[in-house]
Amino acid sequence: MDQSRIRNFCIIAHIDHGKSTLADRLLETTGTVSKRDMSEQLLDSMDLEREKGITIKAAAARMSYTASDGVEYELNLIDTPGHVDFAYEVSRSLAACEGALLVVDASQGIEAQTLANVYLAMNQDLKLIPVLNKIDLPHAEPERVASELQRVIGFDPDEIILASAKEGTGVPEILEALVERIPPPKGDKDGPLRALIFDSKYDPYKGVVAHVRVFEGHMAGRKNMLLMQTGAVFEPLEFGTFSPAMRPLPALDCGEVGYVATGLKDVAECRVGDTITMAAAPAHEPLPGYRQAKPMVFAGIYPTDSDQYQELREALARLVLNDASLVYEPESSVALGFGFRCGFLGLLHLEIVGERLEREYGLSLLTTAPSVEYHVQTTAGEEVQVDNPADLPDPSKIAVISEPWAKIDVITPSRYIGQVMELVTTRRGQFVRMEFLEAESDLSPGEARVLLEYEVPMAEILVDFYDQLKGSTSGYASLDYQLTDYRPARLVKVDILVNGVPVDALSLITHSSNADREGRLLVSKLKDLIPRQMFDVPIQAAVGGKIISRETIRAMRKNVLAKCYGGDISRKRKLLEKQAEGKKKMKRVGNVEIPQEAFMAVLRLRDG
Amino acid sequence: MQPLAVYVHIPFCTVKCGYCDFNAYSGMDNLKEAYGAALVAEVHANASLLSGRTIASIGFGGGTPGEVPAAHIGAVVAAIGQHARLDPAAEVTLEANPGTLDRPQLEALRAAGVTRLSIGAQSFHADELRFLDRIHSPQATAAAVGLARKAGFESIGLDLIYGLPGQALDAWIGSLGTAIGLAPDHISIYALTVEDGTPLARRVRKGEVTPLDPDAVADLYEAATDRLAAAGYLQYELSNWARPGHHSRHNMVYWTDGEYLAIGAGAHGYLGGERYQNIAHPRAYIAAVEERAPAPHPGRESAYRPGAVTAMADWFSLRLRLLEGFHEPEFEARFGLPLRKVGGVVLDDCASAGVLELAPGVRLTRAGRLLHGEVSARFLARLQNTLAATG
Repeated sequence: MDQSRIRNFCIIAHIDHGKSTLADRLLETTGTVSKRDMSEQLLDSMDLEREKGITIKAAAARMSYTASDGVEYELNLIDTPGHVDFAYEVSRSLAACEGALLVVDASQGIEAQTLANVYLAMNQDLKLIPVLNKIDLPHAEPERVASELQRVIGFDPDEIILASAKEGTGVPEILEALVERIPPPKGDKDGPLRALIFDSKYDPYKGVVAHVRVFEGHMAGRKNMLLMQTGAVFEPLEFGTFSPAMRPLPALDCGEVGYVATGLKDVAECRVGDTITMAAAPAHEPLPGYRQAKPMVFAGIYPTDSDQYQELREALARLVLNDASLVYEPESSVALGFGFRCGFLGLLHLEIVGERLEREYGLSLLTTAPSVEYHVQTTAGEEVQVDNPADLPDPSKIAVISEPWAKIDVITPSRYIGQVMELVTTRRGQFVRMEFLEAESDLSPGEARVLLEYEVPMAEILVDFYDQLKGSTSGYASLDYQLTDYRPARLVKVDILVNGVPVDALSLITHSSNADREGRLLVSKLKDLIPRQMFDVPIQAAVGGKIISRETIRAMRKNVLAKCYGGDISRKRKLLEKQAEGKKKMKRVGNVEIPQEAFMAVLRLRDG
Repeated sequence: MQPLAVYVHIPFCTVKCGYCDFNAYSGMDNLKEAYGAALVAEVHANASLLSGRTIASIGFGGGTPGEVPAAHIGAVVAAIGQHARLDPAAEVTLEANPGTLDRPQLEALRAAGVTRLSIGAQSFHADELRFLDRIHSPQATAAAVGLARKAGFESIGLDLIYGLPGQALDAWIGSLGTAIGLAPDHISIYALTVEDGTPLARRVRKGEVTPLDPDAVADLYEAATDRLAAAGYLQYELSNWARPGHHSRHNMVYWTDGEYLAIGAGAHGYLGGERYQNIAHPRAYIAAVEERAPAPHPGRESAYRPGAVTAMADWFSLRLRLLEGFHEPEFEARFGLPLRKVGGVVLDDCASAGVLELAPGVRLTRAGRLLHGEVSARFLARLQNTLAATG
């Protein structure tokens, strides 16, 4: 296709603001997928997902559209992950486009993550097409949201398209705007090949399939290609595009979006953001913006039943085939036995991985409390990275501990500023700035939306910050965060001893000013979570060998059936079987049986 | 061949108590005659199972077996005696409600072959009896014990319930003391249990009744243990005490893996390694017996053969209910596996917690008697983890 007739775009939207519906509508209106096939296709891919244990979704789609000028255009829609955990992936998807549809719910207004993505898109000089969606809803306020978009992002009023993806309203205008407003891809079609990888999937027959945007040159033939960042070389097996299913093509031209089957066995060799070029005639330099996705959140994953260790290992090995951002290595815990220390992009990523392991591989898992990575400088002058509280060196050997900090953006109606401020302060956060996104004078008091920017230690927002933020703003606030730097802090490890035995999987790292309070809370939570045993069980919290809190779980007194005669044996056995089931779910630490919830107690310290 | 026990269920009650989840019905007196006939027919139908066996005990439970005409009881005993050898020293024990016992009835029961009475005293406080929906008074219990003695029963037991909502230690020990004062041969004490589906469970759910805290129930049990020992009663099972020689031979069968034949609606049996259950509803039971007899087990509803894990867990758990416990070789002789191998760390844990003794025999310690469920559940969980494949 001639470059001048290609348009590459993505959709930026908050969850539930209607991205998928709009994408479906575009595919339908352009005749890429018939309405009937739409649902069939969805079902097929879900079956496949279940069968193969990999995610296959419409990550990109090529549409053919004849515009009002009578010319046929090639529209390439690139799907973007919708969560802040995947900010880097989002930035690479954006980099593959010249423009973006900014879809905002006409009843909700713009949210923090959307705004963050808008800034990302603006930094990359993408042409933005603002779409106010869901104007059919009775509580839609298109004028108000439109004026917010004008004020915050600087759109002209006549740029904004009013739409209802559900009802198809505004879809023709959107298609025309894509053609008219988004510039065609630039780039030298005769230059050396440079193609950006914006996603990759593992296919058991074709190896790693890289989703690419060709920036310069073109892709064809069977000559070896080179991945400029990882240095991997492969012989291309197949080129093609998405409609949205994979459709082979003889070549991908300059400016086009599609895929190349690499035959590579490891997604780690074919990372998002890398540049593909010809091995024999490589480009001078790779496309900009590459970085290796770095895990931010770490947690131990253990099989509840130690017999499942081998199965867990195999499941993780298969999972990383498709997920280069997941890292793991074997780990053992005194309390939990053998498992894996895993690194994730964020909490959602952790949750997804855990759920897939359990659902797709039938494993029963125990996940330890998530931790950030601390940088520890020892008195011997060494630099160690610690992502598991259990591994923190003895306090006497620590010179400095540094922890990761994040910049967070919160968007909220101004009446909640006080609550947000208070929440962030209790999390050791520091205020940076505040900006009104709407003029207060136009609205009733407290209504105007405001952007608050803070700096906060990552560890403080890791677990329940988002829930608390939502809770203290009646659900109105939205959040975006970004790792900024490492800063020294007075951090200590709180050890937990159960029946006198330190339980590594229960220890936590916290700021020294919080250690007493959190130690006390954790001990009292554990007292409630660990059932009474056959003997008294002391629960202690200690910092550097000094006990800071102690409670005792009294021995159980009574667990017996009052009577058991002939007719009771079968009936009462059920009660015993139920108890036995409960016991099997416990982890035995020393001679104390600890339920799984206890290992997550450290996550709930803020409730009480 | 080991002796056989027979359990006979009588499902009739004048009033069904609010805590009771047994197979018992009130307002079905018109069925009593047909039911008595069905019991006898069931015994005859099971002639082949009885033949050649020695019957060491017959237990009549309910419901309220003391309430049906003594002739029905006598007919069942006689029918059993037609097909099996009734041990001259056999225990024929019957559960009775003090409210429905008078002198003629007691004499008739004795003449029918009943040797032992288990009288449901439950409490000696009128308010507690009302709470439990019992139809009798404390005085009626005292009178019944006296009449039973005169009627010549060899062994008389009293059953008590403790751990009632709000029950204070002295109220409980008061009842127990009154019971001891009547000098029964046997005393059973049962903690009140809120069973699913009972009127009591509904009252608890609605918040009308707050069950006593389990730790307080434990205190009542400990106090009773001391009081009964001081009065010369020997504990032989978690809930049972007796004067020397007066433990219930019939009930011992259940705890020692003995075989028992089931007769009557909802009765459970254990025969040839199989556990089975009769049809629960009296009317349906009668109809089934009329239809199927003389084929064996005409009242049967269902049966199953416990797998290895279940059988071992049952054996272990039932034997541990006895204070004497058991000796390790008995377990190995029964199942072909050493107990230590099967129980592993569970036995050591329980022993080190002071709950279980492993030598010279395996038995619960005094502290462990209230933790029988804990020990059993741990043992079962371990069996399921290590032997699950064998069933």
